[in-house]
Amino acid sequence: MSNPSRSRIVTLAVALVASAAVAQSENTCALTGTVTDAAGKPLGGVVVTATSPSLAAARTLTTNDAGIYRIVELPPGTYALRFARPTYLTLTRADLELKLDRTLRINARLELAAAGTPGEPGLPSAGAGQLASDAGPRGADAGRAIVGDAGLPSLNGGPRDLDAARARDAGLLPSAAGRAAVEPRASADAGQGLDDATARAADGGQDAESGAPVVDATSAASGLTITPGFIDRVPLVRPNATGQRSFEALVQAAPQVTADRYGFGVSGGSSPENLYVIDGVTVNDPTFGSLRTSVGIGGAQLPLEFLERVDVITGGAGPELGRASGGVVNVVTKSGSNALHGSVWGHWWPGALTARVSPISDLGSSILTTTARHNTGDFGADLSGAVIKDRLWFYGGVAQSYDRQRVTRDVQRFLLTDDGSDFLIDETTGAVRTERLARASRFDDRSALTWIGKLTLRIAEGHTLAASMTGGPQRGVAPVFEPLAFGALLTTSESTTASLRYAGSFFDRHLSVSATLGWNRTDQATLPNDGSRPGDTTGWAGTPQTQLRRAPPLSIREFEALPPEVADLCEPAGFTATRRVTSRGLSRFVMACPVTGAGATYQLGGPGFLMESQADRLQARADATLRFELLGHHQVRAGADVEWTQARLSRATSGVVARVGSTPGGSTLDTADGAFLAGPNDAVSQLVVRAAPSQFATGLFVQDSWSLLDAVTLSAGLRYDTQQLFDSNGQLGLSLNNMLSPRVGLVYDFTGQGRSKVFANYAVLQQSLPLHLADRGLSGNTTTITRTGSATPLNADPLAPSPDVVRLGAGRLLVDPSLKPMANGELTAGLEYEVVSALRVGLIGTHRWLMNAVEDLSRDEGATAFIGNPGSGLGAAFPAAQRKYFAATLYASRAFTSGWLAQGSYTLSSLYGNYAGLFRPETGQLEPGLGSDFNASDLLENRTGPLPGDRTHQFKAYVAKDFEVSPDVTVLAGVSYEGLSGTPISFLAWHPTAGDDETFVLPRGAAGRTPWTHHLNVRGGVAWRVSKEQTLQVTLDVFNLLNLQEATEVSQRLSTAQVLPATVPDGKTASEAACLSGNSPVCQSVLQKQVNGAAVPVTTADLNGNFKQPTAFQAPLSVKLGLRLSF
Amino acid sequence: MRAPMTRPLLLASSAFCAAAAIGSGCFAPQPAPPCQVVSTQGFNGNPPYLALLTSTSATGACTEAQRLRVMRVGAQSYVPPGTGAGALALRPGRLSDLVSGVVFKADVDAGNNCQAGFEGKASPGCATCSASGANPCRVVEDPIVRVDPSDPERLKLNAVGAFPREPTDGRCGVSAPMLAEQALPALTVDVIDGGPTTFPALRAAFEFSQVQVLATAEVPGTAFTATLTQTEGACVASYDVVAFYPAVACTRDVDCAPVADLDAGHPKGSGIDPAFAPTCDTALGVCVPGVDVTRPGLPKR
Repeated sequence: MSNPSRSRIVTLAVALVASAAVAQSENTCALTGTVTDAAGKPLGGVVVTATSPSLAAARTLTTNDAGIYRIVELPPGTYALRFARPTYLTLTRADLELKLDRTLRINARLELAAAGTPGEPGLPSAGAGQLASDAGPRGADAGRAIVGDAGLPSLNGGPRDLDAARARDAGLLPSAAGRAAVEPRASADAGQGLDDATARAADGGQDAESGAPVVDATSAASGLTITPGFIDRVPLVRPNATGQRSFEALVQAAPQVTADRYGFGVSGGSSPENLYVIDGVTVNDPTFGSLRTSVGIGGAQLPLEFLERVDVITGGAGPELGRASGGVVNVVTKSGSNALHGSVWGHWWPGALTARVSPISDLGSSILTTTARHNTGDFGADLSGAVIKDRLWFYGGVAQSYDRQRVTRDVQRFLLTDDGSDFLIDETTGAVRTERLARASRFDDRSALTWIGKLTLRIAEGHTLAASMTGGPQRGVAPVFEPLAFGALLTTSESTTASLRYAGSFFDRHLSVSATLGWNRTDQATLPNDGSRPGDTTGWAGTPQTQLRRAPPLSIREFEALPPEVADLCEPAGFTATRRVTSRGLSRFVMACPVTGAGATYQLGGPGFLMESQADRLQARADATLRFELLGHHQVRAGADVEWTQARLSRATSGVVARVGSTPGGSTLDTADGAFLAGPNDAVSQLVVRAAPSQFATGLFVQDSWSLLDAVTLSAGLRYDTQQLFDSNGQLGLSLNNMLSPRVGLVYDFTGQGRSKVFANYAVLQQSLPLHLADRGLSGNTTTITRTGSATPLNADPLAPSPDVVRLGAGRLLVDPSLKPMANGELTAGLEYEVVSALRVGLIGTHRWLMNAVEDLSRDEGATAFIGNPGSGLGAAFPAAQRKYFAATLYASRAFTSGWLAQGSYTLSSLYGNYAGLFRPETGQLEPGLGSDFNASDLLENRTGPLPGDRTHQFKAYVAKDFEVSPDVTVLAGVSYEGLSGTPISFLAWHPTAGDDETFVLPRGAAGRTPWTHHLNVRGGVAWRVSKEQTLQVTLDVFNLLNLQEATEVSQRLSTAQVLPATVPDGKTASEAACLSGNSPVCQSVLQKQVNGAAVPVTTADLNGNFKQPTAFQAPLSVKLGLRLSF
Repeated sequence: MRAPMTRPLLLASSAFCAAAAIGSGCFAPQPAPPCQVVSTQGFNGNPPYLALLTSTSATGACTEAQRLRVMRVGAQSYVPPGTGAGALALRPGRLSDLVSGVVFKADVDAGNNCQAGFEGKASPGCATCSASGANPCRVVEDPIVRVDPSDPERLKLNAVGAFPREPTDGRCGVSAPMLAEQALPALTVDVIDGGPTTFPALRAAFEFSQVQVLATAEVPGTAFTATLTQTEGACVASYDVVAFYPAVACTRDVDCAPVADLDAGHPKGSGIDPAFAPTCDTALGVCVPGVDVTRPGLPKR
């Protein structure tokens, strides 16, 4: 073949069609259609052959008398279909990407063979066979045909061909003609599956003629599908807290996704609202609902090498997906095949090639702690193959990661003027000048071992069983700066997931059935790292933590011995500063070596909060799909699932109480978690508090996806859910009943060829509640505060029955009998068009609105509380929880063809309201259903405004290209860019019942926004085929190439006083109203604080010197070196 | 009362829900609210309850001050973990006033000097401070704290009774009477410019009976009813009690408004449930409910 295009097609066909087996555990896809002759008459006896790298062996059957064929129980993957019948031209259709739980309808029209006229590849010419465009209910339809056998020399090729296909998929071979690597999805469907991916013929083709349609013309779902082709080329994923490059970070590539503290918020939601699924099993943290519960270690993780695909659904999800009001992140792990394959890899992020992190300066403390990478890396291996050829396959892998950070603790002094009356200011930076007096450094070590094992069994033709299991321990040892032990923690975590999945078909494959049993266990512990255990009365577990927070500041010499030569540069112990200075409207005491004041605290003693927990989740799902013809194609799917979660938690506070005081040796307030009052003034502490909350949930769904005239697809579905939460004693604590989630979608393909669509989708998304609510809200937990070192009663009120004890916590919370579940409404609409082959452009509009929130509310300013809905039922006196998201995304996506891919999106969005979601972004409070927003009526003042997830502009672009320099060597290049506008900043102050940063002093967002951030990452690499069987790949990534270090978060704490909410007077700016500019009289006329029941003017002395100072910066420039050997 | 639903029963019912037709639906009611009261503690701003008292009988010589119309009542409930019995404490404000110096006062400040008349100049305690008026010496009455020698810890200021964990028909009843009492011996103090003055011995007792704390979704422990017998020496009086949370002093209606209103100069809500529709009783100087607090949303009976 001299025609280069044809040559490529051959290569493509080899890659995609000549396949050996790859057994998938999710055999829930199908190919179906009708074969006719040129006159449209059904053709029976046509031999239809489906082949795919994902398929263990070619699947062949014959059309019935009605010309209909149906191939079911297929794993997702890229397929080719071959239609053959004597006397007719053989017709082949390649590049059919079949996504999880989808059915592609591929109709074919066979032409009679004219003598001596073999079909031309890629040219659906007259005389050649043609595939009719016939958009089926579930799938994108077919495009044009690749005709004849010319392009398929190795239809039944062996393992070596598969190797080539796999290698190309992985980007290891020259002229990689892989499959689509990443595609922003504006596709459809009313969702057929747990993981409902949209079926879209991904383009693996090389040119317009051979390319399959890339628009999924039957689905209204939106989001992103990420495959190894993208992962291997685009530099996107940084290591997580344990050094692992895990799947979660891929989510950021999707449009309308914004990072938040616990993950990624989707379409205006908070990250705990997302559903995370690995091989069909939900892996959200059962207690808090998020994937991970802290910025540190924990949560389910999977190295990128274990992933077959990740679907991120940001809108238009089908009714088989429930209990989550945010997005869906569905992970499918790799499976084995008949051929033996394996790879070993290693990645290294050297500390020497990581730029310095911008220090987070604290104007209230002379202690400066900085963290810098020392070494981060991971290495691993995987292996797959057949245990019994064509019957039983395996996949296994293991990966170890580590992250060592050097934590440096500097004692510095602020330089003062000669007379000690003011700070010395650096003329260049405007910051207070400092001088280092002492330094100590320690390592912060974290690591994770992750393993996976998977077996896939073909029980019989049409019946498949797959078992997979993944997990592994994560561990972190925090640095200790002796004799301080407050951070001396050993943190461990392990998330183990197992699934058993069956897929089969009955009644001549008119009915497909799938079932999944899943188990997920989450173990977590935060323990003292001296070996003592929670409840011990000795060691660090027996040592209370004391926090001192006096203003005027305490000197560091109260606590720590400095080298003699510098000790006198700091104020002596017992020193009390009296002079304040004000700059930029913010006031602070003049002192060289403060460790408290201006928001800073000094901690002594033990590690504080300790916990151990284990939670088990059992899931069972089953569903059935029936396909039939009635005024078009119907695909009716119905299913049910149940989920049972049981947690066992134990909590302790080192030394039983956490102490807060003013001065060393002075009186302290002692908070004892879990302590209760047995009678008047009779506080009883518990060394360890144990709880065992649980929940049970059921779900049912039904959906019909109806395609008519091959141009219009209407999907209508309904989901029904219930959830019951049980308290720590096993008693029913809360019941969410009759949750109905309708989903309706309409798609119109105006080209009729799968190259366009206009779509709209409406959905209601109901949110279930994690166990934390049952543990902390429904089980009657209380905390007590007592006082040491003072004879004054804690309770000034002479009518307090317990003068010396304060009990916190309202006990077991009442649940509003008319409680409705948290729910989001979602409306998406858009247009997508394939402008040239493989290049789609589209526009999606998304509107999401909060229909209900579930929160703890108080009608009596915190005295009693109940679980209810703000704005209705018992919470009718409250304003409704409000969160409105509007977004328009313009995107273009070029599927991976001709050795390159590109994807870009721009999103213009607005997120507005008074409720951010299942955690409080300003404080980090992760207590779904127990947030502070509605704890008192005055908290609602000024609370409505742009929410923390509001980023007006988002640019995301990912480009990769392979350069073939010789038959054995390919140079890889990839770039990723994200440009994000800033997030709102508010003026926050202390609230008497809700705590720090809970009062919005001025309207939300009035303090401006954080700056724009730009992230540019590049990758370069070489793939070298060292032998026919082995490929070596070497890559070098540079993250944050420009080493930009803008602030990503700033302090929003205007004051720690009880400043009352206020409005901005006409003619004044918010900054003037908050005393940050202008003079004191202006300030005092606007802001007031509550002192002993009276409102008095706020002065600059009440303001936090760190207000609007950065608390987090962009991660600095870092380099990753990667090596992988595949065979 | 709906018996507490156990997990197996609910599991079974939920499984049934899953298996049953969608149309029939399932509805497990929310559990009843537990028995509890708002814990009176000054530290985080939980004030006492206000008891509205309706006199039903009075014997002996009761002074006007002893005839109570309203009384603040401190409260706290105790529910230990597990399944053990709980307890309820009520702390009558009048009894507290008797021992803490609110009722008994005398000018015992050694620094006082009637002739110089300086005490009242700067002290808010001097109500009528003109030299020729009712208090020509500008005397400031100092609180006289009295102690029951049998109860130095003042634990008997609390009336304590056994308290159920779960309500019956929306009420948490305390079956036995709850008694708070102080036996105060006679006390002689030296009044400045007046010589020794003796306060006679006094037994004071407040006994709550038929205590019923409301535990409904609308009134989750924020109101209770009881009968009260007051004994102060020879004065013995009985009352019907309707108490609600919290006692709030006021001079105008907006002081009682449950929701903060910046524009009205009311930066923080009163803490009274909006369903109680509170208004200010300017004669008593406290917020009073506009509805029957045992049946909020309905007019007063």
